[in-house]
Amino acid sequence: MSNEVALIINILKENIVELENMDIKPETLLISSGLIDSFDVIAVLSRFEEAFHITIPLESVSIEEFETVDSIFELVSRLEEAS
Amino acid sequence: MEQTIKRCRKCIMPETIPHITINENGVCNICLEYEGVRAGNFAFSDIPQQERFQMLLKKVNKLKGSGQYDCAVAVSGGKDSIMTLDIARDVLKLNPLAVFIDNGFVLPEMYANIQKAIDALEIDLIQYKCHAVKHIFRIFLESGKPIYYCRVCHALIDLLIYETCVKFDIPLILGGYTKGQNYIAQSELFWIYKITDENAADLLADSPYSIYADLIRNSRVYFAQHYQGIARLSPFKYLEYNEDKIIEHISRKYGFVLPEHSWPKKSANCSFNFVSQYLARRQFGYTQHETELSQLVREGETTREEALEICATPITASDLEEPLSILGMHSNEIL
Repeated sequence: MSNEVALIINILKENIVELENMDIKPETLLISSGLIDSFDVIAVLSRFEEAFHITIPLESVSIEEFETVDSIFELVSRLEEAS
Repeated sequence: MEQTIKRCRKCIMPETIPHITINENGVCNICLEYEGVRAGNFAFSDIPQQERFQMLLKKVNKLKGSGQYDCAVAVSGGKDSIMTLDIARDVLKLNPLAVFIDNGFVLPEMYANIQKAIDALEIDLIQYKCHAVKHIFRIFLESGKPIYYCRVCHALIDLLIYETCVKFDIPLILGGYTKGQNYIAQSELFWIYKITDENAADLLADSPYSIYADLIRNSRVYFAQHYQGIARLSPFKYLEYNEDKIIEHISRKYGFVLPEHSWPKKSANCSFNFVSQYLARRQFGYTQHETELSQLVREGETTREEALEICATPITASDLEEPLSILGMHSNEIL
């Protein structure tokens, strides 16, 4: 597991009550499993922005991109490259 | 005005190609996706009830305010919002501010339901009458463009609720959204929202209500950008949801009354729902009512027969007359 993936998991566990005691794997389904919802995603966006020094453009990001840690990693990597 | 509709044999979604397809076994693509996701994957509903309740307590304590009110509760006078008031006060021991927005089409029983509950629970209430909704709906109807009216109305109501939270420094909104209304997971609605948002925002931009165009064009982004510090959650995500038990509980405790004339039966608080549902079925094939009920069927929280019965509530020309008369229109203008 890369440092970035571990950091994403830490951010999720620290900020979303439902995930605190969960064993989250990179492929764990977060949204379609009902574990998190759009309100949780919005609440945690700024944490990802601070941790990865990126700006997440809400207009061009879909909620599905937060379905798994892997997909969040892909989003973060894309935004890091763009910046 | 009901047509023969081919529905999924597991949920109640109607075949709406290419968005909802039904295979040779009579099962829709949404049920197949759901079964694929559930197979071997952990889901929130697998967490024991008591643990989920502890999560709710922890989350509320983390998010609630420290000012005059702990949270706002968005109330419509329907069963879910009255139950949310009850949960906020009696279960979570919060001091909520109830916020009620009358969009101009509120069913008469709703006022009494809210009044009885807030009096019994001693909860403060803020009430708005939003006249803009009827004028905006008239603009939309005259355009003839496909628009899911409830989507627009929800955004306008949410705007007033967020503004109330800002005014009273409240960082948490509790809403009575059922598990079926977890619209994030319901990507089958996204195409309807996209068409609605584009058409509605374009029409609003050229109207006296242009101040709402940006909100309607992308409400998710608008709220996230303008109200960052305000969280939302639904207690029903964490608690058992049983419609009959809820109705029995709030009827006994607060004298709650179901609307005499509504669509769908037992689940509406707004007379415009007749028009919205009629047009949405014609323009899109289905709405959030079908997706919500279907999700509840998949989750085992209601039966397919019960869901079908709710959705089969007929919509007649006379049902459309009353809400349209508020706009100065007649049913023959939309039929």
